[in-house]
Amino acid sequence: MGTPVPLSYGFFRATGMQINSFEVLPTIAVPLGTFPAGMQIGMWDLGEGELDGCDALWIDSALQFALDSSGALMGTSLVGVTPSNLATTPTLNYFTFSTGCDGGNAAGISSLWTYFSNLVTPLTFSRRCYYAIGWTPPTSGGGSLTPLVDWRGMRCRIFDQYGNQTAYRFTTNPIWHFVDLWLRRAIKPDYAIDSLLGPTPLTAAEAGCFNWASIYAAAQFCDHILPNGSPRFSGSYVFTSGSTLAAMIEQVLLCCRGYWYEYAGQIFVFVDQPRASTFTVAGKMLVPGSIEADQTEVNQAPNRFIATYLELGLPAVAQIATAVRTATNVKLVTVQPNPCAPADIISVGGVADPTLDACYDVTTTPTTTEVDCTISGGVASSSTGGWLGYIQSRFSQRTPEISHVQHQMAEGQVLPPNTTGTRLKRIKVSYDFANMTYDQAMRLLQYEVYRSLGLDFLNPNLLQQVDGNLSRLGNPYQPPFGLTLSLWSESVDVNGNALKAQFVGDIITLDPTVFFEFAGDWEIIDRYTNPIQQEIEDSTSGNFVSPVSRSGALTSGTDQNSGILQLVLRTFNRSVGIFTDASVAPNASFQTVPGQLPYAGAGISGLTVQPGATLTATTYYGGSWSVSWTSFSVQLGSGVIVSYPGGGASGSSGSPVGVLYVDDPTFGGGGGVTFVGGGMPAPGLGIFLVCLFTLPTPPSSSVGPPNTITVSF
Amino acid sequence: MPLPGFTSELIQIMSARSGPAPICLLDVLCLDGTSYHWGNTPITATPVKTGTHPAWLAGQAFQPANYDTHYYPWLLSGTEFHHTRSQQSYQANIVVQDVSGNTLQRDTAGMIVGTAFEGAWFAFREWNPLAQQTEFEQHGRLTIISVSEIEINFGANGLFNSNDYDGNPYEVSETCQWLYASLACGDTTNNPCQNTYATCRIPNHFFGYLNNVVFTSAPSVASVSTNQMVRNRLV
Repeated sequence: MGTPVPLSYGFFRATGMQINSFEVLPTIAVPLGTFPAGMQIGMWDLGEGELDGCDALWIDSALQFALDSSGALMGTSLVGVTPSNLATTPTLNYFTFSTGCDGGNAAGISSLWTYFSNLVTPLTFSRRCYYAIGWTPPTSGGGSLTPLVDWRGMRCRIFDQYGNQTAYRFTTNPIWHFVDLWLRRAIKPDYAIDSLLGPTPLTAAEAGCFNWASIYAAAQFCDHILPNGSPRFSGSYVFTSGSTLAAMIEQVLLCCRGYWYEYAGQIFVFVDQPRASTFTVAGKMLVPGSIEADQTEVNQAPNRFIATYLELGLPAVAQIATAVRTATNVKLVTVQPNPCAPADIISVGGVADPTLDACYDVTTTPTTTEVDCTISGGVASSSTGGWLGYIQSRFSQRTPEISHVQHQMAEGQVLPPNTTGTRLKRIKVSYDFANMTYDQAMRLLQYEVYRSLGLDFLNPNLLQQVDGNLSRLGNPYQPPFGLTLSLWSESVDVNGNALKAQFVGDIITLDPTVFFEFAGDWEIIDRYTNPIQQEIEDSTSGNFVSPVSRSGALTSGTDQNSGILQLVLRTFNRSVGIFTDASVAPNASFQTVPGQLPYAGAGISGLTVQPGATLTATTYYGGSWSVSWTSFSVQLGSGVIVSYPGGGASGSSGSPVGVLYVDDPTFGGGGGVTFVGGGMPAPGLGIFLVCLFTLPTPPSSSVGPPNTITVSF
Repeated sequence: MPLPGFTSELIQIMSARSGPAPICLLDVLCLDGTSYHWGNTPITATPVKTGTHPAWLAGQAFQPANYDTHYYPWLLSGTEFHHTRSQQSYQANIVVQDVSGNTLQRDTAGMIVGTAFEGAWFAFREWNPLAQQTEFEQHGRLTIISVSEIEINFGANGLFNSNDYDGNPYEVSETCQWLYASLACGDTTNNPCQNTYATCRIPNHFFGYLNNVVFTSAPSVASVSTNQMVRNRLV
């Protein structure tokens, strides 16, 4: 109690705050099945909803189920599986979670409350994501219900360039996190979240608070897929402590080179990138004597940049020499001795034949460098290369860093430069990238270092990336400059561009007539607008008493900067060494298993009903109700598409009175759904709620007209 | 990306060597819906937003043809509009006259006292009278810095100051933190609750925690239970 409710975006691993604990004493029958005596039930809260779902669950450090990067189940789910030896092995009887919409949507949990002590008040935990586990410890004792879960975080609104909401889903795009934060905290803090329809749409006035053209362009830039197969920028972060919206936005934009400003009541957001100059400053626009250059910012800047983050990839534990697949087996031979053991679930990636990139159950380990995995229906293949790792080592702590040696030498010069030895003044700064990949962290770190301090001509890796050769290795250090100047605000350049239209982040060119040595491209960092002030004029509108006519001497005291635009500029360097899209090759200690990032698609709470399908539920007022629906198809993530026939159900009036559901027997990790009312299907694992709805109170006790509810996907 | 809204007509007029200077216009919309339109010269222009007319207007001998488009020449200056690439917040300065009225009462001071200007929404513009277009526009909220017998000094905060907002506004608490009758609350009975579960009429939307697990500490001298307990907070 008394702690902030967390807010989570992207991928994260968490247990959450435990909100209930209960131990079943006698065996009890519930709609989900039978809860054995001794089963422990726990509930944990993860914070504000609506979160998307879970990718993996461990209890007592043992993997219960997990989705691989394609959304397929890794190995065999242990949910509802009775172990062969109850004395030594615990049983995971039950797992379900609520994404956190209004009223909660973990219907399977509702019945559990009746088995808690009557001192415990049932709650839906509306608008908070929470999960519940039923777990039976080994009969011989030992073990504890200590879960750890990999989660897909907040679902966000997605918009087009005109501000039309096009989707509401899980995303790792930092720009949509940025928009969600503003909506959630400032612009639309009051909204409903329907479990099926999503959040309340924005009004025109609310949508008008954003400049969608800039937001959409920035989001697209982040979503761009790089040659390594990953989006250019993605963000995963959990805000658990009380912080300002500013601090959250700073974190989000740090993960994508982003910056934002407001103008005319709209929020603009951009991703820093190479861009063209949009205005040319000529000498005649300059307020005489107003220009001044400095390097004070560089002088005080840190020069040892350290990234701290949790790795989203799977750290590689062994390099694969050969991979051979038969119809029933995959044999991996590793270069180094590997830590694999029978019954392990391993993830393989980067094999020359990509069809061998998958997750496997280890059957035997004949030698320290051999791993045999049993499969079924395999196609013969023999390949080389790749890496293997474990899903449990995801989110490992990493702290790579980049030093700007030329800056360290410049600031650390105590003795003349020709004196033997190197003297460095290292000033470190740490950047917390939250949960990220090594590739993205290093690209961001490289941007921060070299944008701040300029290129380091003593870094051969950087020069190789920028020039493709080392011809500039050892060139003199050229720190970036800061520049302040004042311009006549209504200036228009030779190309017909208005100075007043240039805002922070825009690039302007100083031509040689401004300051010969500083001609070139500069980025606007700060802009001070000083409107042209006019003195109060006497009103000629009859009885209105103007200030001048009353006091006889009052004027506005015209500001000395009236009509002047003051700018703070910074050297703009378009070098690919700063705005790099190239993956920084990890060294051996940072190697991760290629292609084994967390599953980002729809999960067990993100059913995708095939387009064109329509579910129709028809109900009647009166003493009974019924629902029916046409056939439809459901796809679980990117997995198998399952078609379902039409059907119907009926029951007595009450609340809830209608339900549409999907029972997917091919999925073992699903939660249960408890149906209230007669005529409902038998519950079981793998059942997913599609729609749960209530009807308004009938206008009278008499049977009224039929009421049809149509749900379209 | 340069700012939108700069038409070729506006740019052509700006580039001319002569012509009228831009006029500063200020639209103010108080929380009670009252609107004010002030400029540094009397002018008729399209307002950014309109609201209800102030009671002050009824007692005036001069009645503009259209109060919503008439800008009274009360605005003395608007300065220190600062925009930055960082998230640094700023507060601009807007000065309005406080001498008009009669020998006893001041118009603007009367408005300040009669209406809550704290947090009033504003739109400040540099208005090009020839092009009838905006050269600079800033929206935000006002706060009163000082009121003197001559002028009133407003602090003009940006509309989207992220430092103003709590990032984690909700607490793990037994008190429901929804605003009564909000969409998240869902109550439509027009009978405010006390933000407690006991007074909640939409309990499945209750945004609080009544139970949390308390792990008792390990026994020291006295033999106490070490089982997990569920504490109930029914309020």
